[in-house]
Amino acid sequence: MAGTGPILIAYDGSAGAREAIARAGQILGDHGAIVLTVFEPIGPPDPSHPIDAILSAIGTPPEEFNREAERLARETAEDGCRRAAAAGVDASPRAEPLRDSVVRTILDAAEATDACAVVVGSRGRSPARELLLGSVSAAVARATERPLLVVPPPKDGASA
Amino acid sequence: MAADGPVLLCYDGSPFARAAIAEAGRQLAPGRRALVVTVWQPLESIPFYGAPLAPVGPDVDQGLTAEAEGTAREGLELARAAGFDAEAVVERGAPTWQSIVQVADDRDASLIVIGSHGRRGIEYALLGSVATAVAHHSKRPVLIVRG
Repeated sequence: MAGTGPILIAYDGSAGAREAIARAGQILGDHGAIVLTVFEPIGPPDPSHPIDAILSAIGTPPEEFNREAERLARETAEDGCRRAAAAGVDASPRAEPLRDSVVRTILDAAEATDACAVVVGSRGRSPARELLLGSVSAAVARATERPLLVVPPPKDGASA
Repeated sequence: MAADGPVLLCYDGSPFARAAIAEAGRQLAPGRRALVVTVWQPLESIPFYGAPLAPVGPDVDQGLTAEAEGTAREGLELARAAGFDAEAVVERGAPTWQSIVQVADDRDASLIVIGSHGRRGIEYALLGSVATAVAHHSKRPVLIVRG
């Protein structure tokens, strides 16, 4: 099942994700795109949790951290959009708070935007997963009903 | 890898493979060069509960080759109908994913397109895993299309 919306490109700023953006337009053509960056919000403060205790002590409320996390995610997504534009794809940025898992958040965004295809890099940020098909791309491959483009990292692992 | 290398369309005659070719036609720019690849496995490569089959005669291999060629021709028609400038190849090999990855490398494919069932019980274990294995092992972009 392919949607009628734009291409949804999951982008975490990694070399693999940059390659995914650079190749997506080349491969899929210009359907318009959304560059999605997922960020992890922190919940309400839990006094028993050491990090929360420290945050409370220095007086920075979690909402402020969440705003900062969202701002950084949006910046990352905007960086992805500039790279998409350089590859000839008209893209708009989207920052989404993590819900359950990165995979769930990507799938939900694909539903919300009725994506005609989903693009992921085969390797994400975690070097420990270098030997596996990135856990995110493998899980999206199993779960999505939409066409999924899996892009391998650049050969030398260097930034694109 | 050349960005203008052919698109490799994996075709095994299943509805999922049909859906993949049709979807590739919708997603990709028209008129692109494509290679329809049909892989068939020699019978002796398929284990039956761990017991290897007795070697099979050349007539069986010939029969399987002919069947694979028929499947490839069907895929070729679908690819042309989907707007590709296509040719077909038949490959003998096992496991299937390895042959696909190998052909993609030999022909410097710019993209591999493969259909998948997704997660549906035993079908997933058998067939969905070819798409996942190709995405895992290939150094080339892979478009997985859910049938």
